[in-house]
Amino acid sequence: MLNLALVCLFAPLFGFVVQYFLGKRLPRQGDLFTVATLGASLVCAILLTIKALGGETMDPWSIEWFRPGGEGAPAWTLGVMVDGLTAVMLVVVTVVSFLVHVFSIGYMHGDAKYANYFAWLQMFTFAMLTVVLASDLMLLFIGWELVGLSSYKLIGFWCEKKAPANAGRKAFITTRIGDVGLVLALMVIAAVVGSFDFGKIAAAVQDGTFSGPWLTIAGLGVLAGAAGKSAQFGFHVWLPDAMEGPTPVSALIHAATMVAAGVYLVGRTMWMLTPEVLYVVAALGALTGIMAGFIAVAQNDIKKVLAYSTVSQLGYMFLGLGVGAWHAALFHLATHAFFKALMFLGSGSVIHACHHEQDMRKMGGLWKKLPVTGTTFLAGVLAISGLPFFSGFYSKDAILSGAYHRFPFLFWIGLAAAVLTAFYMMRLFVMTFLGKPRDQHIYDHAHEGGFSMQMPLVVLGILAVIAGYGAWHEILLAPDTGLVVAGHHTVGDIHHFEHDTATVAPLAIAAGIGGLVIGWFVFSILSAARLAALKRPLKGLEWACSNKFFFDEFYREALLKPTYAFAAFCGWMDKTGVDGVVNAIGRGGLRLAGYSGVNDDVVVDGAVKGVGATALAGGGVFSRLQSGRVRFYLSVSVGIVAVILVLLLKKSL
Amino acid sequence: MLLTLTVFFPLLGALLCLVAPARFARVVNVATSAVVLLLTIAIWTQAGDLSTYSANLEVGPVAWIKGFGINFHLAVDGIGLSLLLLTAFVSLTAAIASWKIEKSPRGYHAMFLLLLTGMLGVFVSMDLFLFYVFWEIMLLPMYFLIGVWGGPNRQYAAIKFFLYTLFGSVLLLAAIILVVLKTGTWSIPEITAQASALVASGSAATILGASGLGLAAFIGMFIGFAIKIPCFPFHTWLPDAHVEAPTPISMILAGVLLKMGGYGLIRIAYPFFPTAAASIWWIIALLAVISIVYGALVAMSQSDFKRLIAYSSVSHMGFVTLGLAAATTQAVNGAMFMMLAHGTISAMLFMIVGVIYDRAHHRDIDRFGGLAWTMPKYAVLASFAFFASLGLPGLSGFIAEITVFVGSFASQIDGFRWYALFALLGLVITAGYYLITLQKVFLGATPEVYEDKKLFPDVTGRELAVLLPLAAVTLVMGVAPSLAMDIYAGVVDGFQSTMQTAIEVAGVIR
Repeated sequence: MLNLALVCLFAPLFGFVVQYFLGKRLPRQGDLFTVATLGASLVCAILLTIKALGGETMDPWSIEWFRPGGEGAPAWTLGVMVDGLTAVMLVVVTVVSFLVHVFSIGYMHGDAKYANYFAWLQMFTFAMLTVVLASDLMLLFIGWELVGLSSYKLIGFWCEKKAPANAGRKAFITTRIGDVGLVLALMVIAAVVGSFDFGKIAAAVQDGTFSGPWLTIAGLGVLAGAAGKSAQFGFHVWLPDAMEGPTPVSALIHAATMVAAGVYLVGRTMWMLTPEVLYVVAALGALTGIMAGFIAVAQNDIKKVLAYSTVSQLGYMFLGLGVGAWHAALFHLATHAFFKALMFLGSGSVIHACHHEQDMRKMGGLWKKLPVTGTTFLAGVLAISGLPFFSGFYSKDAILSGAYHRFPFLFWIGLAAAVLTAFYMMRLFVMTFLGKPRDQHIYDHAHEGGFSMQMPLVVLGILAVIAGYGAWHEILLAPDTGLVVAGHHTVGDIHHFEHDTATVAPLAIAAGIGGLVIGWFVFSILSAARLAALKRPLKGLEWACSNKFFFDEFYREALLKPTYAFAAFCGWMDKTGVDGVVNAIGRGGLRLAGYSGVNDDVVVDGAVKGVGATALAGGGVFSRLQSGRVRFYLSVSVGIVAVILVLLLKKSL
Repeated sequence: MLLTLTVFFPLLGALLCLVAPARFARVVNVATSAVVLLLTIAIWTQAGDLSTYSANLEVGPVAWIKGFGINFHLAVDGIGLSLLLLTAFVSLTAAIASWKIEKSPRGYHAMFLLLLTGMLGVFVSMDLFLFYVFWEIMLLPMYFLIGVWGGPNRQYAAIKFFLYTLFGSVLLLAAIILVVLKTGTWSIPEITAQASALVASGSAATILGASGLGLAAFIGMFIGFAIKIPCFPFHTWLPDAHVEAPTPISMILAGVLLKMGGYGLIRIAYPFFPTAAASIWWIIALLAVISIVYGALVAMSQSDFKRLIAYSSVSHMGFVTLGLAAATTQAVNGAMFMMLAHGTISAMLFMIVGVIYDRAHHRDIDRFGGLAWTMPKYAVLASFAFFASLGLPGLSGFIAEITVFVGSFASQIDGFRWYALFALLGLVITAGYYLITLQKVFLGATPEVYEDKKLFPDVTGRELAVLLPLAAVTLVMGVAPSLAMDIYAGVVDGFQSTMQTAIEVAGVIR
């Protein structure tokens, strides 16, 4: 298994290195080569998963990296392992990434940086595989930061334009603020446990050496890191902006890599999260879910709707983790990855067909023109709405069951978010695919992409329907396998909630269907005038939602501007204050010594001439030093030392 | 013998530069620097056990100035060796970067090599007087290299550099004289042994007795070395010196000279006065944290590319001070690692600035834009250096930062961890100013001025010869940190155990 895991991990790294340096010279600029390396990863991931389904797992295998603590102390290790959770993530990451690679062949065709694009896709995948394969927090953090780098590069891929470049920077810095928490967790864990190995940390948690406030602080640190990458409430601002990247990259970020990393991290370290931390996780998740749902309703850019939908679904997953429905949250992570990747690639297909038009107000009626995209997209809409027999139903229902048993209040918020989800998804579908074309020109030119763009849609469409079937998740994500055991009896409450057929399931189904029907009614049946009349009393809400509750504005005024202002103040202070004192002392010293009349130019230029002359004369540099101010400085220093010497000698005599 | 040869070999080169035809001076410089690098590698292979002074390489002690008991005494251990390697390596890249110096090249290259002798000598001198001589020898060529070959405001910068460091030197010399008068020896290992023995006996007194004199001497030394590092509030000479210095000299200044401050602390100030250092740990930690955060903030406010990099040096070298003050093995190893990592990364960064200054003749970040399309390779190398400096895993800066963070949080000193926490702010601010700069200079639309590929050619072979080796070392140190850390870790163990006892003795343990 180790060899499979290592091939799975390093194939994309190999792909990155080759593609980055040689990509342009490879046949077809290396696109098929990167598809092949990722295919190798995919095959390994599937083989590993088959083994994991058979109950076989791989214990952590690690190498000694270096010994910052000296000879006696334990070395920092880097290790990989495969358990059920890793296997699920491996499949999700490699499948989505593989399909994104294939889709990109068509979507990115003709781009000036075509080869470079595939190189970074490889790096992104490698970074994410590092995160999920790591058996210690250090290696996970390394992958984590490389995920940040790759997202910076890919979100800002079209960085000759200002908006993508800004978006890439915003993603990197926002997530880095969260990363500070993760570094803090690393610091606490190193100080208390002395190792980053998951097994050792878990053991320390279990035997009580790692407990109390430090455990909570470390947990909050982990949560901050996860919230940053997974765009939870407050940190979510980078994700919609990240839409500036190429659409296949959005699919990758939203389904398999970046945002999944945060949920995965919380899931992976669940056993060290204290009840207080888990409560924060749940509350944060519920808040994120409902907030993003409201914003999504008011967006007109097809990708922005999907972006806020992701934020909302990530909130769901956090809610699931926070209530202890570990299995359900990670199950939802997997199913969501498939149907969200599907919808993003679908939106990519739509945008491609509409000549890079993203405004849904200019679309409509595209079903006829894009039957494959439309059909598969509908599967995604039904899946995310939680309709029975679609994959999203099973995972969403499980999360809601958990919330219902643990924090009923949060359950109702989650249910409201479910209605919103179905509502805005139907809105998106109606505006894009149904009704009459709003822009005839765009409509006339719309056409399906080639095989490389349709194949991924079909595969993901099938997955969106069937990913919830079978018992794979019961086996791979059973809470009593793998590392989770270590925490099962300690801090993290992990429950395996049975699907509650009596109350939760009917409510969840009703929420999904209700949202879809209302959405269909409002946006498809109602006339424009009736719709406007209906909206009137909600004007304030719509205004706030379409402006995303003013988070960006708030951060700009309350964080960015003050930081820049403070930086400018520090710069000014350094020049006039700190350096001003230095200069004043310097001037004062010179004046005291009676040298104030001497012009710098005379002295140093004298020295310049001196060096010039001595370079010709050779060897005479030092005689020149005897002149000018330098001699004065030297004599002052010697004088001071002489005085000290005399004083000391006197004392000792 | 090998040590003597290594230290004084550049002097031969310097003399050769003065007599050789002007156009050959640069060849002499590069060749001499290359030989010095080979010699330091030879030292590495010969040294054997690096955790202590290598006996088979030790030179002296030979009586030098008999009346005062001053000896000629060179020796090398892991810390000295790692810095020798850094010095030789950075100097070679800087020598290659000096290829295009046109103003009196003989004088320049001779000064350059004289500087190299001074720097090498500092890291291997075991006699305080000899140490001080090399310390001062270095000052003069630096003064001229800035004052003669520098930018428009070079006189001011050179004088300021000279005065400021001389002020530090005087404090240092005064403290040295106090120590020598009391202990009766100039030998660094002997004084260190005396001080360790004193601490081990459980005495809170210093080698200068129980009075406050020891503390005063430590503060004097600390200021002397803090100016070199440079640590807030003694840092303001650095931006001026960097801005005016020619590119290769900036590389040396950031890459090697600043390390002499850190070296002085770890070799002299702390080992001589461990209890004094422990007793005022919070002042040192505070200055270190201010350097990290404030340095980053000031960097953010700069519009001059070179000033920005200079302030980032202030910020990053703050980790050295912080790590030493924390006095755990991890933190001190991290501090040493930061010296080596910052040495190569900052040399690379200053070369990056030099490349664009050569072409654009200005360094105003706000006036650049879109250079990634005119100079793609250059943009890649610059991003590499930026990300290395902001601590991307896989590159050396990350190892340095994470070990210092982790190590200083685990400090045995009561209350130290809050300083470590505060330093975390630097992570975000650093990412901020580097990414903003990256965007302003390299991304976005290209202003018309920078579109001409003739005026803005991509990095040349010579520039690549400077940048690629620095990048390679940055990568290797980031992937396999033990290659560098194993050189000096044994010495750090000894340093740490003394400091550990001193923390207990000084009563600041948690």
